[in-house]
Amino acid sequence: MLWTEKYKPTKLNQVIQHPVEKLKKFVLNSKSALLIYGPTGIGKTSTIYALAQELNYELYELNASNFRNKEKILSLLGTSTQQKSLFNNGKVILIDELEGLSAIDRGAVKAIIEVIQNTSFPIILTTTSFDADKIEPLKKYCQILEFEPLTREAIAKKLEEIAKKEKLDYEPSALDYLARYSSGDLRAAITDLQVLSNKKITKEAILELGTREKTEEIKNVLLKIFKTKDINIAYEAISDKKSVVNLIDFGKTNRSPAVFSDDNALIYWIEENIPRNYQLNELSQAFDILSKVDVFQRQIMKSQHYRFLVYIGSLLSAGIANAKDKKPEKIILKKTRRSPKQNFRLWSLVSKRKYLIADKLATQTRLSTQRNLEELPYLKILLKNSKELQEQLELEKQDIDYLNKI
Amino acid sequence: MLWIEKYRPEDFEDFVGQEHVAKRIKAFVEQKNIPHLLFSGPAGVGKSTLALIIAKKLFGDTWKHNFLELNASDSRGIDIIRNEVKDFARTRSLSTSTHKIIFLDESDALTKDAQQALRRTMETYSNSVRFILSCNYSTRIIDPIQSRCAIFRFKPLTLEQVTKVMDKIAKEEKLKIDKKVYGILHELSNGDLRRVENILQSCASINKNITESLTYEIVSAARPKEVKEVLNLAIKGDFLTARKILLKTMLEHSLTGLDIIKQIQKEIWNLDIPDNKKIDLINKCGEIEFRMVEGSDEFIQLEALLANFVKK
Repeated sequence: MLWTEKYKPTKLNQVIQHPVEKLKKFVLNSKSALLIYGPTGIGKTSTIYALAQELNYELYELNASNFRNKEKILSLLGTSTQQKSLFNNGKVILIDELEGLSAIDRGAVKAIIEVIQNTSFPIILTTTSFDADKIEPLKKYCQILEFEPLTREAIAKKLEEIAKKEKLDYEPSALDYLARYSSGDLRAAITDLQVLSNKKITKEAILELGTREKTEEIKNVLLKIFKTKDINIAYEAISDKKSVVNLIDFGKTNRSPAVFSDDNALIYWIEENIPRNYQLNELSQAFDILSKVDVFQRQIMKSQHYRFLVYIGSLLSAGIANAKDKKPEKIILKKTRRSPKQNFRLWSLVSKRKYLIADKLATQTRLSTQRNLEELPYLKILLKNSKELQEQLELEKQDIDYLNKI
Repeated sequence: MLWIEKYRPEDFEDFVGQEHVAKRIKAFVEQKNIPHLLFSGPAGVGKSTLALIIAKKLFGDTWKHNFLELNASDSRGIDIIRNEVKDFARTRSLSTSTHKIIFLDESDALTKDAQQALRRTMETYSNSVRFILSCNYSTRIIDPIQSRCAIFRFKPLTLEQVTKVMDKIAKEEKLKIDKKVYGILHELSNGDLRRVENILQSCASINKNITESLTYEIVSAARPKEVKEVLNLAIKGDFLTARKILLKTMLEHSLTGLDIIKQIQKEIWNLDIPDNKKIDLINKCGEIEFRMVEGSDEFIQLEALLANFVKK
């Protein structure tokens, strides 16, 4: 189990440092919206979970990246902000990760405002980018609460608590170092602790782990690689900062991106930005390099042969730099929007539905679920049209919704 | 009801295709003495159906008590199979002196170790039970099992055979089927009768008059059309949009990288590009599929493939 899950606060008094009383007061007394902002990994979401649990409130959570358009938002939120809790308790609505709101849909923010104005329950919104343009119009309609990065001491204390419970072998100063190194991101610190937990935790071991990136530093590295054709300059860009930029996603311990996963690894940043800066043959050459790096990435995890990192480093820097035909005039860099973890969550949700339907088909045919999964595409129109089959297979509304969507 | 069940034949007389196999199996049944059997062949050509016919003919009304059907890919692990087999095999068949039958479908889904265990099970209960194993590829079945079984190879159905079945269904369901549809379905399904009947039933749920265009409509709806769009966008050079739609499609349909690459590889043949470019892309497809199996991030691999469509 992930320690970040295992050690999530379940009561408000386990939440460190954040203004929980203000939050509690808001939830108990308001039927409006509260915007919580603060950097990633400090416990915005888990504090709200702990609060709901303590008050025995129903928590209705939505991730803003699911908001594709106005209709979708109103259908997702409209009823839940009116309907009473199923269990007759209080209810609080959480709209998580506002920054994931797709910028294309200007209607999205408007729709959220509409929902806020009509809600019968407290709505809490969270974001890491308080200054983003797209959420600007929202601020007028929300109370605002800041969650600050956690102090080094607070993080160190928490790490020590976990280390003791897990009976880890550690140098106390190493935990303090780990805490400082996480720059206020508790989730990162706990994740690192778990990654390090198979050996004695020392300062050296932490240094080996490589510091979590800072966006600015990553961008600098990227700029150097994208600007130059000189392989030496490009290589220096990563060898200089070897300790601060993670080349690949060390979280990819297996084929399932659901666990760990470092959304900020250099490989993802390059992936995101190659098509903005490389054309035609440059593009295919650069992606060919990424594809090889990915194979190395997997083989490292599989065989623990860390020497592959040498090739990964050279390919990601010098290789990518050299893939271009000529020096570009202008570099466009976008923050990587990719989140394997989140994508995997979405993917599995749909996948589960598919399996459920195939399972139901398996009860009526002499075929395995797997085979039925293969036949499903050829049967979907039939299943959509035939009420008789829907009844016979006991398809539920969600099943039919899914069939209608695909 | 699904036609694949409704029109599953119950008799050797109604069984279409695999004449050479059916004839010999019928002889076994008439002598009331069947050996262990291994049915090998592609999907939808009658392996399970024939196993069922054997049971019904051997046991008559009591066939359900004397026939155990297991699916190797669903029943997790050999232990579960072993236990079920044990319970079933403990008693001798009631009605006749013949052996009870265990039908293990998709047996090539079992690992080598599981197959070894299966072999022992086959031996232990050989006094009371006969096994019928089905698989797609007999090469995936270990030799010791193969040598204990009479092996029968099933072939894809011919156009005549598919036509015969379709005509029968058309008569029962009062369908009007266009002449061309027979050939189309036979080709699209590669002689897989289950696929043919599923497509036919889907068509009929829209219109009893089954035309060429209706058939194509159903078949193309089965594959997300976005893949073609993605490839065309890439060819035009709009890589950013192409990959965005690709990701969205994969998430919404919960497709794996391999699902997508399979379809890209089929789609390449239909693209409006020169032949040598097609060959080049098919070659790349294979290379990327290889890396996908070896690598960790399917999406990066798909992007790398997509970038080759942009290349001039």
